[in-house]
Amino acid sequence: MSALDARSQPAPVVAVATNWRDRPRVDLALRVLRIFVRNRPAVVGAVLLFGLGIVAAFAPWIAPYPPLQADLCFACVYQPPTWDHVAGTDLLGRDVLSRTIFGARIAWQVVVVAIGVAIGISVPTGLAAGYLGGKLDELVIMRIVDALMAMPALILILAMTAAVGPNLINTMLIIGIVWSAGYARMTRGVVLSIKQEPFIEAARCMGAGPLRIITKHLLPNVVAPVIVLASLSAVAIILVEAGLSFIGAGVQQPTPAWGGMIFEGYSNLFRSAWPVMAPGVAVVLMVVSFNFVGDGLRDALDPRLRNIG
Amino acid sequence: MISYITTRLLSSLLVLVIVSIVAFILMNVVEGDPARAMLGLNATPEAIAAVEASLGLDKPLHARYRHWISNAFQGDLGLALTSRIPITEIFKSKIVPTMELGILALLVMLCVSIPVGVLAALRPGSKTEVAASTSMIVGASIPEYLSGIALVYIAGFQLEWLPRIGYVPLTEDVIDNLRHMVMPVIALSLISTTLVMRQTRSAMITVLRDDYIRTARAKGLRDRAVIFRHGLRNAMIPVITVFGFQVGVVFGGAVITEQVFAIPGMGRLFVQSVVQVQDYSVVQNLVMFFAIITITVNLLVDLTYPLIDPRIRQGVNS
Repeated sequence: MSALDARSQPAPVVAVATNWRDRPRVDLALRVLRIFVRNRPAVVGAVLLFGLGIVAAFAPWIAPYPPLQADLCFACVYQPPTWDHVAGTDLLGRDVLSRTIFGARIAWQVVVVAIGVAIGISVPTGLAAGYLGGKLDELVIMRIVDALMAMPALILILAMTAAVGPNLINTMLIIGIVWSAGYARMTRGVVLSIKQEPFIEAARCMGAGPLRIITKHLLPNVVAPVIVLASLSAVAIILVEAGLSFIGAGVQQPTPAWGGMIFEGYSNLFRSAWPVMAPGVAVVLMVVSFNFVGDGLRDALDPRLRNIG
Repeated sequence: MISYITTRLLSSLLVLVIVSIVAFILMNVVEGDPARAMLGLNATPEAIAAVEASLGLDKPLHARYRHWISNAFQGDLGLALTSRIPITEIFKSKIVPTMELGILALLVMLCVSIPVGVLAALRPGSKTEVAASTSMIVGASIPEYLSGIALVYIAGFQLEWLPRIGYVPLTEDVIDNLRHMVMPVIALSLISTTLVMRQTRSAMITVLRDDYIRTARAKGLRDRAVIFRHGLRNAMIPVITVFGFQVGVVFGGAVITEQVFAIPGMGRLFVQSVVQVQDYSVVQNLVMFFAIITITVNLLVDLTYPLIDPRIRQGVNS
């Protein structure tokens, strides 16, 4: 956070004074892309994520079997990898690869919805709280944020799950709510650090109201850090969601979520380790990819954000 | 200095109070109907009223909250809704395994991450350094349940080096206790270790570029003195901050690790109370247990800043 609060560098006044609406933004996007592409792990991560996205989107066409199709004959369960079942079969004779492919849908869904909820709650709150300030900001909003952030995320999520019951929708909403605290604190920090800058002052002198200043001048400055934070928090969200379904407090069986599949495989680990393998590799692959992409985006978008996450 | 300490203390207390209110509201407003859950659907209204009175559920919310907090200060956390056992009794037997697991994991994390992080910072840009930082990202991407399962399978099942799962109390057999702890501690500390390592490395790289490091080298100090006395000490502030975050991660991760290794601690109790028996009174107190640990450690972390960095010591006086 300190890196954000201590923004002493002058704001891009030049860009504001010239025709800032057109050229600099295109140049900026190109520059960001150039730096990002030079970062090899980040490109590999982005390609992998794209691949996982395709797999998730076209799961019914890609998966060789329906994810719930069980086959309970003695030779059908706990099969090691064969040409028919590339990742083996699980305790009910279901095809592990197909279930893992459908699991990518759940993982992507959780990441996108949870981050969407978090941004939807936190960015407007953080912008308003940071710009308007006052007692509501100091005494209520920031203290709630403190309390949310003081708790280990998993504990908070488990407690909320206890209150509303475990299922996919609740899990996504709860993760979004819990993560919104970090986004709100960061958004507010960025706003506090730039709201005294001359370009805000200038906008105010020209008669812009709070709403216009927030949407036209503050919001664009928040976009880059939010993108970075989103890609980095995707890492933790995937891990938490898989952890939740692993302990049975997330997506429920028989829906193929990676965490639940890993738990099911673990319960019969000494009979066959294959059912754990594919979902385990999938989790790590997705998390590693988001880690690399997040790092790459952070370096490309703003080197000053190095301490986020 | 004193005002810095009191501000920190007060704000930690305030956060703790807010957490307790949030936990209380979550468990008492959203929960539904515990008396009916206990007695079943055919219970008479009188029986339900009697149980509600015995649980104190007939009183208004703020009175119940006051009751909970004031009793908690006297060591009475109430009865578990389903088993009717005093929660204090349940906690007494479960607290030791969780604390042992958490503290060992944090110790391992400190002893591994800081030295390796410093080493990785000494030659930035070299092939070894790039390989090290890439493997750090991979290490940070393996969740505790996966590394735990891999350990159980390889070291417990294939090689039979260590007991696969379970827990032996410290008081019974220290050696056996530690043998049971090796795999859970490794699994639990892996992510945090790599994250603190990365932070140490990047903080050291930044610090070692500074002018006073060049000065220290120029006046002929040995490498070790430059790195540790001048470098590491200045790099410690961000490292300690990340360490504070990781305490929460470790104790949160303990919930899952205890599940993987069947350790009868607070985390396993938490999962059982949420998933299997839905015991809200236990959950409410468990939330407070984890909150107190993380908030206390973060308070301690805040209080070490002025000890390490005289600039903060000076700054807080003014």
